[in-house]
Amino acid sequence: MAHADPDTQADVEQEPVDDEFEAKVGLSYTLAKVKQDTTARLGMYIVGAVIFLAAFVTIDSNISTLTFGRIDNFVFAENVLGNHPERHPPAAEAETTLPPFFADGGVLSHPLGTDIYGRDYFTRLIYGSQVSVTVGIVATGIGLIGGTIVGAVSGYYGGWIDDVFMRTVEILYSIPALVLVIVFTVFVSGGRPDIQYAVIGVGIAFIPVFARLIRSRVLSVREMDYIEAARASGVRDRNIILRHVIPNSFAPVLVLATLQIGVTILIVAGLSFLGYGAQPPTADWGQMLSSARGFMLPSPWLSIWPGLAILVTIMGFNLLGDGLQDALDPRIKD
Amino acid sequence: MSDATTVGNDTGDIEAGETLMEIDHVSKYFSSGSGFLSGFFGSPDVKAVDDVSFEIKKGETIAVVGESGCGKSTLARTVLQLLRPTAGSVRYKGQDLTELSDKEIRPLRQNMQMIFQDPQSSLNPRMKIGQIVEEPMKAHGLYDSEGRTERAKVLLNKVGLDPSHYNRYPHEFSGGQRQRVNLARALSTDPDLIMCDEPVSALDVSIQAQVLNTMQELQDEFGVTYLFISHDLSVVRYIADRVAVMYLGQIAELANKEELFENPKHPYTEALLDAIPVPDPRATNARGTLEGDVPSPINPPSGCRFRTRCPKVIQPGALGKEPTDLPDEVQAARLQSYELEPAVWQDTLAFTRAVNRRSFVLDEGESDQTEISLPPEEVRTRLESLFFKNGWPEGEVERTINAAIDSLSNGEWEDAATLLSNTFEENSICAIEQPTYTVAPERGDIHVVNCHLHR
Amino acid sequence: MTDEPILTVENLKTQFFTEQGVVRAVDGISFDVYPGEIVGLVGESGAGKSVATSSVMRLVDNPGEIVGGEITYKNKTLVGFERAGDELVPRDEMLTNEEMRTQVRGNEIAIIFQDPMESLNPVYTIGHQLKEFILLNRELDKKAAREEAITMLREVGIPEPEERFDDYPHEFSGGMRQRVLIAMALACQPELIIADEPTTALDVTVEGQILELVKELQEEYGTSFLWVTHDMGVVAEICDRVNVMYLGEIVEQATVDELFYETQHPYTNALLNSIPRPDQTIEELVPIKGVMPEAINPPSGCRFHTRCPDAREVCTEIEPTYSEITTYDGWPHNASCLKHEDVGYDVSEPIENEARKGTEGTEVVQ
Repeated sequence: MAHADPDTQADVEQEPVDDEFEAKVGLSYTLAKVKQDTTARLGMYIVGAVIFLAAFVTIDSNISTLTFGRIDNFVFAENVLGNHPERHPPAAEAETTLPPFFADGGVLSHPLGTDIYGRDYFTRLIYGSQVSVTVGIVATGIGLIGGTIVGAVSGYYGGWIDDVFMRTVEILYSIPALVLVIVFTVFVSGGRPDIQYAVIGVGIAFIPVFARLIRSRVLSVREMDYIEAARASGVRDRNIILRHVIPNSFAPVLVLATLQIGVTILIVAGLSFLGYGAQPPTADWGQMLSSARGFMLPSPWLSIWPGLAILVTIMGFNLLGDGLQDALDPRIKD
Repeated sequence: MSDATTVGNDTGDIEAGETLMEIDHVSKYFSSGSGFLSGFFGSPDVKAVDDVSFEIKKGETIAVVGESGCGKSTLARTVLQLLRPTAGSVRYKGQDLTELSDKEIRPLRQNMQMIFQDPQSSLNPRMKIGQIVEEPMKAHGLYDSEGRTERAKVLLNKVGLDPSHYNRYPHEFSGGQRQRVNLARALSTDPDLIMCDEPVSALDVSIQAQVLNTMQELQDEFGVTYLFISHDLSVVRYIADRVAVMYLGQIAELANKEELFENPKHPYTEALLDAIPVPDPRATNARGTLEGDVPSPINPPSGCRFRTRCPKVIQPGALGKEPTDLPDEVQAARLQSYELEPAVWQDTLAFTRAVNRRSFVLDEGESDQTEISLPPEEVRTRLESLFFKNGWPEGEVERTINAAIDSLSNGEWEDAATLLSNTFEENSICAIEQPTYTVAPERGDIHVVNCHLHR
Repeated sequence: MTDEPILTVENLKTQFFTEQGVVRAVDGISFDVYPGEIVGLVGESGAGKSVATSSVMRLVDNPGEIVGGEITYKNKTLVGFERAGDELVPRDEMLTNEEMRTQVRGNEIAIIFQDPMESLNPVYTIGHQLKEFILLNRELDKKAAREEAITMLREVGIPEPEERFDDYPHEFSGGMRQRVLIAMALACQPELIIADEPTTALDVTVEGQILELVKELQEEYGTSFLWVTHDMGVVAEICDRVNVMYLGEIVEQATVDELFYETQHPYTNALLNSIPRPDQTIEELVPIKGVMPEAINPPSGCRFHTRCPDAREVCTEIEPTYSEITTYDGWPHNASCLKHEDVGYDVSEPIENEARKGTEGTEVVQ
């Protein structure tokens, strides 16, 4: 009577598995938590909208042509996809630059007006989202993957591996990101900077940020008993890192990555503005800002629209990041 | 081993009761510094485990008890080669594990599993309990995927969990249930030995009993051997067959359970047993409280490690044992027998320690005792009332104590402490020689008592 | 029994308002502490012991709230309610939070926590913290406070107190830190010390030292203790009277000898049967089956009926009243079990619960 016969235990009626428990770990649970938070939801909508737009124009330009054709077929075909500034010498005259529709002289067919070459600004702005989102995700991805590998290996093994990895990362960290990327871009591109070099450069520049965060998490996760349990069971180091260390160190990294996408977009926009990123005629927000620089007074909206787009996008990622942080934080506790 | 559901029929190539593991003069030192610079400055070693030998027999539960910091967890991890010993050898079925590389040991790990104290952190929160139980089998390539799932479910049932909970996450279970998951994981590769590091310490008492009972049932069924690490003597008395008591990195006493609890020989074991509050208000608990803290393992006391706190330190010269490799004058001093009455020797020892710890005041009005000076006569009167109730020591001893009183009356506590300690404590056999003795057990088959009282 | 109790708790209810619902962590408990007495509050984790003590100190944090009952300390009303319409509102004589802080906490009632490391600030020296505490609660000048601090450190057995005065908490061992906390609690000469599992984190020999120290100091100062613990050994060793808690309720209260030898509640009995003994070898422990249910939705009737080996049909329906069963030496022995009531327990059918089904730990916690 004091203890149960193990065989009878299987017969005991058990309550059915509750689905709510199932959901408490994993992506769907996190997303559900994010949805409960108003600001995080706003961030998610903004990010969703930007990604949707970017994907939309990327997937099928025919569809977009049809949709946007209503706005301005010519502008779309000619000026966004393949035009070159040489064919339209810069002209600050007001007749080629239309103001937004609500201003004097604005027309509804160009809702946000046109730029100095007469290209529809709304369409270019939409196309800019494609560049920005790609840049943000790819550059952050490079930093994330590189940083995770470096940080996890460094933190898990410790000792001289840690010393070598982290000292290297610190050297990288001590160079200002902008300088690092500019030098990298100029060298790798052989003096002809372009957006892809900027993206890789920014990604590399962000490896230290992720590596350090992951490493600090790994150092605490490494002390958990389940790591020792796995070691004592004879699980290979590689599997311990992949199955135990990284999944349990990843939550804050996910948050950082989300916030970092915003930062990356900003930096690449800055690089484009300086001429080390996207080159004309690519519709990139930073590059658009750069081109608008000379016309700040006669046509202020040329600067305002891309600036606003950058602002909203980054805010979206930041709100989402904060929401994720809140959603991921209490999970282990409950 | 082809059928995943058949568990516990692999008794290995040795019989129950035969030696499964031999731990032979194992030491584990840690460097007290950290970082690559500490190497240059030669930081002292922390002697976590120092020259420990014992055997683990197949099918038994051998418990290692001791207070925190005594090295019991380090010892256990050294046995499992999760930490490599600094010296000594660990033989598993005759094979010396210390000679093998990490890579060579990995396949052997399926025979040696482990469960932990903290049910919170011992299970990966992002894995389902089914996966957790299967992982060791997967690591050793046991069974196919279906076989592993089947075996995991069988084991969950065996440890008293519902196999249908296979897909749940650890946070859905209570502490006791998580310890059961730990048990199932440890059993999954059908090991010979499971090292249990304080497996029930974090659980409520009623849950403790549940888990302990389950552990015993599993031992009966699978013939598994437990190396049970615990600070709780009550739990050890319930579950263990043999018990090793550790103090400051060394084994103080090792005996069969009944022998150790009913016939403890080492003063430390006695103190430990006295200290546990007995759940019985009518128990007459004459507690000889241990004084002071455990000394630092960086610089442990010479001779017997317990001597700085031991109430039964042997007075210098009492055993007439000649220390060999010492200069003649030191030898002469150490052979000096004061031939004090036991009670007076106790008083002298208590006085020596009290001066060391400054646990009394000479002048009750003052809080800072180092700044006062009193006439020696007053000090002597006070000491008489505080310590030497059984009469004042005579001869050599009195002279030493008088010298100490002179220092005390000038507020020089440090000098007095050094003088007393060097004269009385350091000259005891307990400080000169490390004890290693075996006595004839009244119960069971082995009784190691590392105390000079039992030479 | 001639004295008045210094602390009286009557029908105290503390609830936590969470997303999942109302957790009735403490649900109508009553006990008292007389001068110079050590009263135990014992139970497993989740029984509500700590919530009960924080309620006495009025230190219950959001989302928790004291929702009913009376707590009287000497002639002060720490908690008191009156009915205003449909609601219970605090009475006027109930101390304000400010009054609690200046008049009660620290100088009248002190508290010692389980983890001495968390109770001491790591960036200040032990002596500084002790001195500050004395300055705050007693009218002494700085020099006198320092001397008092050193005296207290010596009193609680800190070796070389003059030197250790300037040490930081991390330079002390766990036992020494707990001694410092006891010194701190005693320094302001409180009449009641609430000890919340003060020896749980310590080694046995250190625990022994602390228990001896408390006994000595208690004789010297005549301080009363409310001693929270889960360890029946400590209870037997140190307490005069004991309250046993289960799931937010006190199920039994008696003098320590009565509790162990004339046990009236099946839970206390089961608890005593489930603990291994250091002084004798037990062949087979009898665990309490199952796990404690959540206080958010406690079982109907008697809260222990899901795990009680003596549970019968009637236990699921009728809530037992907490009442005096016997008296011993002038002290009441209270318990809440239907066995002692005239509600048809004897003729009721035994029920199938966890204790009889023999399932161990198969219940999933929420």
